[in-house]
Amino acid sequence: MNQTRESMLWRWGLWLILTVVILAAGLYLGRDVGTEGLVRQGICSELLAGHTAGRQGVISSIWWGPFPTLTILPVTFLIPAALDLSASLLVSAMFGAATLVLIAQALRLWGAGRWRWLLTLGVGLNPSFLEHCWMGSSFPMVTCLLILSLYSVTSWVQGRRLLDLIWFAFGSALLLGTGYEMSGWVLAAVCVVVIEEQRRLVSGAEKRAVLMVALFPLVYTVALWFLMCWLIMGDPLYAVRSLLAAGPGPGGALILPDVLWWCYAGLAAGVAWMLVQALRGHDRGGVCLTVLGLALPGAAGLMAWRERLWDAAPLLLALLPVAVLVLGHWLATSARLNGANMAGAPARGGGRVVLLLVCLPLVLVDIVPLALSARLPATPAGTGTSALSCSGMQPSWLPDLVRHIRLQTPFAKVFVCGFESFALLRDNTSPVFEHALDFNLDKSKHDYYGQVLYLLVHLPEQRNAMDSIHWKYSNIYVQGVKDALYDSDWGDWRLFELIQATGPR
Amino acid sequence: MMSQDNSDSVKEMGDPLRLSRLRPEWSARVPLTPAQRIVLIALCAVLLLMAAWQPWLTAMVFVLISTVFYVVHAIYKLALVRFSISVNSELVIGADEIVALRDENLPVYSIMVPMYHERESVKHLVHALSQLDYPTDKLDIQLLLEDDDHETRAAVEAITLPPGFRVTVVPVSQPRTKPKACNVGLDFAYGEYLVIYDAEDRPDPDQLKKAVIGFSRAGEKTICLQSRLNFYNPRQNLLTRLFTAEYSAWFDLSLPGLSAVQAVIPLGGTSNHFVTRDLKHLLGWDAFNVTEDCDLGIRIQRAGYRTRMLQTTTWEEACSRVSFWIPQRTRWIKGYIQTYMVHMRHPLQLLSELGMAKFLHFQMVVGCSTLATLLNPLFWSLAVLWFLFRMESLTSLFPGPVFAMGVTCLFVGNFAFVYLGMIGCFRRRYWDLVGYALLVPFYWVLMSYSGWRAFFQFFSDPFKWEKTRHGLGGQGNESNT
Repeated sequence: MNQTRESMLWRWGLWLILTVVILAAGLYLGRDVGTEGLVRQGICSELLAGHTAGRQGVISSIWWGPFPTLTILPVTFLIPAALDLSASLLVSAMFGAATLVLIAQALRLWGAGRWRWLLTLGVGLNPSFLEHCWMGSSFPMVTCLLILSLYSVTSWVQGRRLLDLIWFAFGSALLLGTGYEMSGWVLAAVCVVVIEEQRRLVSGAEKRAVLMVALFPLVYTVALWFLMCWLIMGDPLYAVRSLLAAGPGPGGALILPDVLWWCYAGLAAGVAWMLVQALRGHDRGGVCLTVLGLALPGAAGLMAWRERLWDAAPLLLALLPVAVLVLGHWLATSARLNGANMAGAPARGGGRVVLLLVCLPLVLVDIVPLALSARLPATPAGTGTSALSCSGMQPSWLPDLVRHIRLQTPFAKVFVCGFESFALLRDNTSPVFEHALDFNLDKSKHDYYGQVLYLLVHLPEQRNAMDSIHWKYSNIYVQGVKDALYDSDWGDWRLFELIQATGPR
Repeated sequence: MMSQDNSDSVKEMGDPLRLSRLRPEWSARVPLTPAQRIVLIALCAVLLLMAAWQPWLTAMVFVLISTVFYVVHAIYKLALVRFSISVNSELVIGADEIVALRDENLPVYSIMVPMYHERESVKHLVHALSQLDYPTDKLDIQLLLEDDDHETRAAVEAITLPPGFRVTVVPVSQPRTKPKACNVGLDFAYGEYLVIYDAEDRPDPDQLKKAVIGFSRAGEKTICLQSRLNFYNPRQNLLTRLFTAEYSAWFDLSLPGLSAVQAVIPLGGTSNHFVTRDLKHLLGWDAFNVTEDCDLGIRIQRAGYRTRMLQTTTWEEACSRVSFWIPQRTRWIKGYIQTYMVHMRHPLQLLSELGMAKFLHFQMVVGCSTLATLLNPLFWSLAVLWFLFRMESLTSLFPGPVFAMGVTCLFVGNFAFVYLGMIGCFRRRYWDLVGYALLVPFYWVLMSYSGWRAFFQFFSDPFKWEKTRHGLGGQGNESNT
């Protein structure tokens, strides 16, 4: 067996083992799938059933990027129902494991030697990271693609291998496909590649070729998204309408313990310090890596400025794995400069100090939210409090709501607006409910002429505030809208009755 | 004036159709065996009956099978490229190794150049072969000329051939194919190694020395080395640009990928280097197969030998006119169909000879590539109909999971194949052609047209050799070498 194949088998084997370990730990601890995981599974089920709501769910919002859903889709299809295993949980565990393998692999190739295991372990034992893997959130996927893009763009700058450029192209394109939050970082990465090409003394044709190979997947992803929006929603810009129409988002604090803010500030400071070191050492790869590492808190800062700090959760949460990657690179580079062989012996002096002072305390400090989460229901950062509370159970009020409506008329129809409807209505076979991602008041009244209609709208907080119902009918939750009268409250949801004339057609 | 003419010796040569006589089951002389005819007719009958009985269900099953096929094929192609980029499976020979070779230790190398109506290429061919960095006394170059090709014979007689060159006249007989001429040449080849070039080829000067070192390094089982092929006129027009993108993706990405996973390698038309003795044991080429190179590549694997890629390039002329390109492509696809049918006469025997992995590679490389070319127009039409008219009846052909796979193929699969063209050009350092690879979908239309032409020709005129006309692209003026 040649070395390459052996190394490949080893990597796949490690990935498989880590996936099983993460999955088994999650199941053993009895973690429930979070709201995001439930929503994406719901979209997949609708998609497999061939329903329009499923297609709309995949592409109609930049807050619910299509790539995580499309990744869960084949798993949903393939997992036997008897297994009772959540597809989103499985996918999260797979990407969580892939993130760890990628970090270990990147650090090995950069020459971090045996230290790579300690650094990878630091990420793998981080409670936030594990919690998101167990919740079926898209965060592990985002982190994995981020690490892939970051590693490959750094390697491209250092060694100009075609494979690295291709990985960066795919990594960044897929990262953009995970949602809006990472677009700022992707833009920063593209800028780095463009600047890097501009400063090289090669022909213009070669520069253009590099940029085309690097950016074509990204451009194609965006174009495809617009095309799908046009085909399915009838408006190519539908997915970004919330940005254009909604203005600054409704406040909502990022639900993270205060101590974590200090962690993230410390990580950012550490990365900034390594940027200075890379600049002093004329290490172009190191500069690229640290600049893009700092782009994460930078993008989070921009979002905070736009009063959408809750969007920044993935950016901040991804900072730890990125900081570990930067640290590993810095350790390997300084060891090389000092002539130390990191594979055989630990790096000297500074490396150990940095490792102990920066990395390990952060991992330990992060135990605090784990301790909290043991007592409180887990809440995914970025999705905020929810009527579902991520409990994996359907809310107890749903049957009451059905009874309430059936009291009025047995033939009523309830349009459940927004993406959380997929989580709310999972396993619900009642014909009373209908998903409404693109609700249109007049069209519904026309299509269901004479029928008693209701509208169920979620509290406009955080990501839910970006659902189309809120930017199409602004302030609907508080004030209602023409022909929609307040009926009752159900958890964080509010029921409206649609009034229509019942005369002859 | 010819340096040597062994036309008299032709009477003493072996049988150029020996493969079809000694091992008829390996030859395309009979395009379809009776058993294959029965199976095909039965399949068609079942399909027609199903279509008449349950037309919509039949269409749905057909769409399902095709969609799965597309998904598997796209994943396979991407995996090949992944292997080709990350695993260097090619034999890379360094300049220092070539310098270290001593002329007296080099073996005799036979070069065969089959020519037919190639008058305009003669001078350039002789010049290109004279540039080869190999001792003249160790070269055995045969120009294989057809007996009735007076124009090429006259062109050859009009020049003084350098030492090492000789002419072998191929008597007129059916079938009039290149492999038959090569079989004639094989009988007279006395070199330890042998290579085939086309009349318009410009091999890298150090190619033969690289092949000698390559054979010594590759091990006993390797009896064939395939060089990369590319074009010296890639920028002549849009067709040559797209052709170059395709060739770069095939020879610089796909074939090295196949070599990396030790799969069957369908040889390219020229620049195949062989161990002469082993090639003779394999009975040479199938004179009835119009892609004899592809067929030989499979037979090499079936016999337990191996082909590897050699990192050196032979520069060819890209066909620059659609009117010539289509017949050439028709012949290639028809040859792939012939090859597939020949080797699938006894699938279980093929499976036992190749093993499961190589058997599946054969299905993907030879069978599925051809099938994709034939299926594409149908699914393009469905996509266009849906986009233009939003025909809801079409949607019902694609139930949930099939729809998901179909959309994936349409948008991800096609993107991947375009991107492969870009990477191929990038790897070949054709910087300015990277952008042209975006136009490759238009090129696929030509391929599918040729595919259907080949399909019908396979039944109507299986041995027809549509000769590609050369000399339209200059003679290497736009050299990339």
